[in-house]
Amino acid sequence: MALPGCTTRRADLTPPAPVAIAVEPPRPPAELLACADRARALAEDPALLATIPAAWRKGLIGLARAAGVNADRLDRLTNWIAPGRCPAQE
Amino acid sequence: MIWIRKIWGGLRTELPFIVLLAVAAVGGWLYVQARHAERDRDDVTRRAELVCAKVGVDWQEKHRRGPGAACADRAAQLRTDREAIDRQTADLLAAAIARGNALSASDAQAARAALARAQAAERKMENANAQADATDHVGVDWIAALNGLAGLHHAPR
Repeated sequence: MALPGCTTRRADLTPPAPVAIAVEPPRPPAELLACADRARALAEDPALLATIPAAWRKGLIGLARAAGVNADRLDRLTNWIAPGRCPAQE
Repeated sequence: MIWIRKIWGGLRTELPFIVLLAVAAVGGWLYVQARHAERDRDDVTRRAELVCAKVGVDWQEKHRRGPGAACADRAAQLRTDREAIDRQTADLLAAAIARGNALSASDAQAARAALARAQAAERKMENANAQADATDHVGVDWIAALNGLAGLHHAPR
């Protein structure tokens, strides 16, 4: 039988070291953190000419505008989560 | 003056009784004081036991400095820990706020740059498209404006 004086509950008296833990927000998977895919520009050759009716031109301009806006937005979002990953466009 | 002397004479004959009365009064007063002290001590001990129970250590816990010392050590440890955690939490929060501010600032800059670029590309596109309206013929200017609007990247020359 242990003497009462010998059974000091040291484990109870020494609490774990104090810690405050920073909780990072969950990170999206790597393939979602890619920079915007910017396709190669159409050839800017003075020799090339085309005839495109206004309605199609309007559609093409809409496509181009959407591509540009989406790419800029994705780069900003990626840079927000992983700062400095996507270089600024010229 | 006769009557004063008379009273004084009477008191002197009763002196032993008066002394006895005084001693009894002092004894009674001391007794009451002792009871008060006992009551206060018990009350303080009870409160100490309550406080110790709150920090999870028995008041009677064995300690070389006597009862209550283990409990006081634990309370001091809890306070030190609490302060350390508060300090660390404040540091972490300050760092997180600073990081958030830096992110916001750099994103605002990127947003301004993107908006300026998009507006310039939009103006260029409008001009090029207006020129194509008459004949529906599109050439290098219109294609260049379209490339700019879509943010397509040019092949390295």
